[in-house]
Order: sequence, then structure tokens, then C-alpha cells
Amino acid sequence: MILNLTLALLGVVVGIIFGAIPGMTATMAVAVFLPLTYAFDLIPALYLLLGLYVGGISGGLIPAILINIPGTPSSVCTGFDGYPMARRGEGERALKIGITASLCGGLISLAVLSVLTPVLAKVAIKFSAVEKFLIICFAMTVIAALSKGGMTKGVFAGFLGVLMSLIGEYTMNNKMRMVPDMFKMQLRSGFETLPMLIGLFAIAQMFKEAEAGMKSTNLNDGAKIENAVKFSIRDFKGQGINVLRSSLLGTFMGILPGVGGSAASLIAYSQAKTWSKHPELLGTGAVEGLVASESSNNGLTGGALVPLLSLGIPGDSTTAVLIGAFMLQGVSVGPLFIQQQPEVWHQILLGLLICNILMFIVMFFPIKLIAKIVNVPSCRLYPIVVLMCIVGAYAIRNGNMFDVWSLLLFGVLAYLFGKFGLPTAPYLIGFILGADLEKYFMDALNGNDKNLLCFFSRPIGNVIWVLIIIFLGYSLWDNAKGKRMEKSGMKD
Amino acid sequence: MTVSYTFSTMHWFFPKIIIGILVILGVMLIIQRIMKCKKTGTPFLNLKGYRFFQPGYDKVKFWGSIVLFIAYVASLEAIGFLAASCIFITLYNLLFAEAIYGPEKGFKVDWKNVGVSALIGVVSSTFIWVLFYKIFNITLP
Repeated sequence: MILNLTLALLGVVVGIIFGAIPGMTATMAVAVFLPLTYAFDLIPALYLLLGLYVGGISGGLIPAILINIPGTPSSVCTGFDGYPMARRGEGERALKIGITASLCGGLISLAVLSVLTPVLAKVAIKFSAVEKFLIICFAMTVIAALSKGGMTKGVFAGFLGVLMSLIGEYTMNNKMRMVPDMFKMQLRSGFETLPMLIGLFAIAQMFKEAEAGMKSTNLNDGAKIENAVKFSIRDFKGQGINVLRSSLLGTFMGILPGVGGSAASLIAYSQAKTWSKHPELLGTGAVEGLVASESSNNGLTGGALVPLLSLGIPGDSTTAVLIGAFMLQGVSVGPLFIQQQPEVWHQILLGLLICNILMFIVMFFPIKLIAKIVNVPSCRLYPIVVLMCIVGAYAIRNGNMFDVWSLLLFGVLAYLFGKFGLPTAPYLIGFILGADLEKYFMDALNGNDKNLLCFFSRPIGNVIWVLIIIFLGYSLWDNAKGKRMEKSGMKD
Repeated sequence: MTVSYTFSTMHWFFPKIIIGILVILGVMLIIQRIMKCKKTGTPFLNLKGYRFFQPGYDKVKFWGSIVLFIAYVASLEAIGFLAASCIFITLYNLLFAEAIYGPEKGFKVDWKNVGVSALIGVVSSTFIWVLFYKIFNITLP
């Protein structure tokens, strides 16, 4: 247990550092450290990774409030009110409010996670190949719909990921697909998820930063943490409903597969504005906006684990990385997970609780010291990140240089994606789910005399079809609405 | 509505569907772009105004990081993890932290910066090597 706590603490601290430096994300932290957990058992590894996750998402509020640059995408709305507060001399107060809101979000989503997952898992056990296939389709629809760059690009990226996952040997008839002769040996089982993940999130980010010159952010440019107004619990008076609503929104967005922190934070913020008694105050330094943003982005953490642990489908890109952790340890996540691994399930719940509390303790008290993290120069950190990526990629198949070269390949690929406006998260999730997508598709066909109508024959399956259509309809409408607003010059 | 495939060719059944979907989506993307270009009046390929890199991008750091990466990985098998890492992490530090000034400043060398870079390079490489190779027994090149 001591090991677990130590790892959790380490994870939280490192996660906060990664989250607090703009340009480095929580996903990156988890991705880089993941292969290094190879040496640990599953439970210590999970404590470390959960710590990184919680710390990473929470750390983003520090630069958002102090220098108006979000440390992670999920803190994008925190700065809207946090930064004006900091400029008024309420920096420390804003930081402490944000940290407390984060804790509330994390705990509420944990409660939802513990209750909802077993229920969903029970439903999911009844799924046949048809429903499993359709659920993955639904997941990909959601991911694509809510991705940046518009829905078509998102769907395109997702299917590209699926296609990439098909490269290699097809298990059903042992024939190779899309593999050039000289790589037959290395690509027999296709690309390894982990080097791709690390390349996509860490190496590509490094290229992007290098292009921009690796500038470090300087705390002195922004507001100072003066004690003009001190923090008190009374700051939360009247915020109860806001906290609850925002946290639940964050949790729900996390449950939807593929939705990331920035979407959750934006929706919670706009809802807070809609329901606020003084909407005009939001954006000028209102506690409400800060609370909404931070409780929702931590709410995401618990929510994203729901589909992962009940259906085996990742809730966001960071949980997609967590699938890798389970794979590494030989544990499969899906509807039977809770039944088969109850100890792991309980440890995850306990671990999340501990990590949230640790995050609060680590950030709340030494806040003046923590705020200095923003000053750590990224130009010193990135070389170390490269180092760890190399170790991780190489070790994943116990010594394979091809995986290390894949780091470069996917780093360049993700960088190019960025240039062409293709979102990387749908691509990654398409890759991870691609193998299962094909498996369930073929299983369904094989079990139903190759009759395509079988996909419409099951009641639960049809419910999922309805969900897909609703979602497609909603996102098309939302897209059109966005375009109409752009035309009339309004900003959403 | 049945489909048919044989055992020996079924590994191409699903991929073909995916490729088909990708082609349709690709066409949709092109059409969307054409429609957008018609509205704003910019030509379809817009080669003249097209900027792949942001104007004023940091050429040295960007290409340097790619070149260093390739050199680093290539040298891993040749000289082993510890040696390659010490050298290249130091080089990366030098590159990113701008320890050696270019022609505008007359090739000045900031020795303190070089020292810090080398220190970080060697210390972090050795630390990781000891931690993962010796203690955790993870294979390294």
C-alpha cells in the first residue's frame, strides 16, 4: 500500500507539472509514463497513471489563471474569469477556488463512476456482436461529431485510424494485408499502439513547439499572486448548484466516448452563463465561471472511466492511453471486467479518491511555490521527454527498433494532421477500436448467414441506431447553426 | 440481403469497405473545400498564398529536432542506449536552449548554457539508464 501511495503522489506531482506547462498535456504525461509501468504490477501502475491523469487535468488551471494561457485544453475556460481575477490581485484566491472546484468535480464524478459502471456493465453483458459493433459505431460518431475541424474531417480521421489498425496479419485467415514485403516481420501484428500514441501526442507536440521556437512562458508577464483578497470557504456560498451542475455535465461529457476536456469545460461554462443570476459578470472575473470550468474538467476524469470499464470503449484520449496500461498487464476491459476483476475495480475507485485528495493537498497549500512551475522552461523538459519516449517505445516489445522508428513516423504524421486540420483524437480512437470494429462486424455476419439485415434485427441494436441518428442529426444541426452564426458575424 | 466472401479472401472484405468510406469522405472534403473557395473567391489550390509553415518559424529548432531524432535513433543500435542518450540529449538541450548563437551574433558560445545542457543530458540519461536497465530490468538498446 505504501508503494501505491508513493506512486500516486509521484503521479500527481508530475501530472501537475505536465499540466501546468502550456503545450504539455495530461494525455502526454500518461502516454510517456505508461510503458515505464511495465515493471510494475497492474495496481501500482494504475495508482501512478491515475495520479498523472488527475494531476495533469488539474494542473492546467495554474497558467490559465496566472498568465491566461491554458496549461491543458480542458482549462480553456478557466482563464476567462480566472485571469481577470488574478489581474485584480486575487490570484491566490482564484487559484484556491479553482483547486477546490477541481476536487469537488473529481469526487462527484467518482460517485457517479462507482454507481453507473456496474449498471452499464450488466446491460452490456447482454450485447451480442451486433450491439457491440453498433456501440463502437456510435462511439466513433460522437468522437467525430465533437471533434475540432468539423465533422467530416473527424469522421475521416477516425476511419483513417481504423484503416491503419487493419494493417498486418488478419487473424481469421492468417493472411497479410497492406504490408510491404520488407516489413513483413515487424508488421505481422500491425503497428503497436503505444509507440503510435507516444509519437502522436508527445513527439508531434515537440515538433510543433520547435517550429514555434520553444519559447518558455514567463510568470512575470502576467499577474502576480498578491494577497489583496484572501480565499475563504464563503467564496463558495451560493455556488452549490453550480458545482453540482458543472461536475455532472463534466461527468456526462466524459461518459460520451471521445469527448475531451475542452468540450466539457466549454459546455459547463456556457450553461453557467445561461443559468446565472448575473450573466454579464461572467468573463470579468466571476467566481461562477471559474468554478464551472474547473469542476467540469475534473468531472471528466471519473466520467471517462465509465465507458472504459463497462464497455471497453475509451471516454477520451487519456483513457484510450489507459487501455494500453491494461493491455500491457494482460487485463481486458469490457462488460465482464467488474465481475472478473473486482479487486482491480475497487482499487481504481480507491485510487481515484486518493489521487483527488492528494491533488488538493499538493496544490492548495504550497500554492505560491506551485505557481512557479509555470516558469520551468520547456526547452529543458522536452529533451527529457524524448528520452523517455525512446525508452518506452523500445521496451514495449522487449527490444524492437521498428517501434522506435514508428515514434518518428507517427510524430510526423500527427504533425501533418495538425497542418491539414485533421484532428488526432478521432484517429487514435479509430485505431484502437478498429480491430474490434472489424471483429464484431465479421462475427455478426458470420453468425447470421452473412445477412446484412442482421444489424437491424436486435432490439437493443435498434436503440443504438436511434442514438446514432439522433447524434448525427444534432451535430449536423449544430454545424449549420455554427455556420449561420459565423455568417452574421456573431461569435458563439 | 446477403453478402458473400470466401475464407481465402475475407481478409480484404472489411478493409475494402473502410477504403470505400474513406474515398467517399475524401470526395466530400474536396467538395466542401471547393464550395468554401467559391464563396470566398480564393482559387482551389491557392499555391501562392499557401503557407505550410507559420511565417518566421524557427527553422533551426524545427529541422534540427527532426535531424537529431533520426541521428539519435540510428545511433542507438550502434553505440548503445547510454552513450547515444548522453550525446543526443545534450545536443537537444543545446538546440532548444539556444546555447550557441548563430551568425547574427557572431557564433558566440554561451558556456554556462552548454554546461547546464551537458549536465542535464548526462545526468538524466544515466538516471534513466540506471533506473530502467538496472533496477527495473527493462531491455534497452
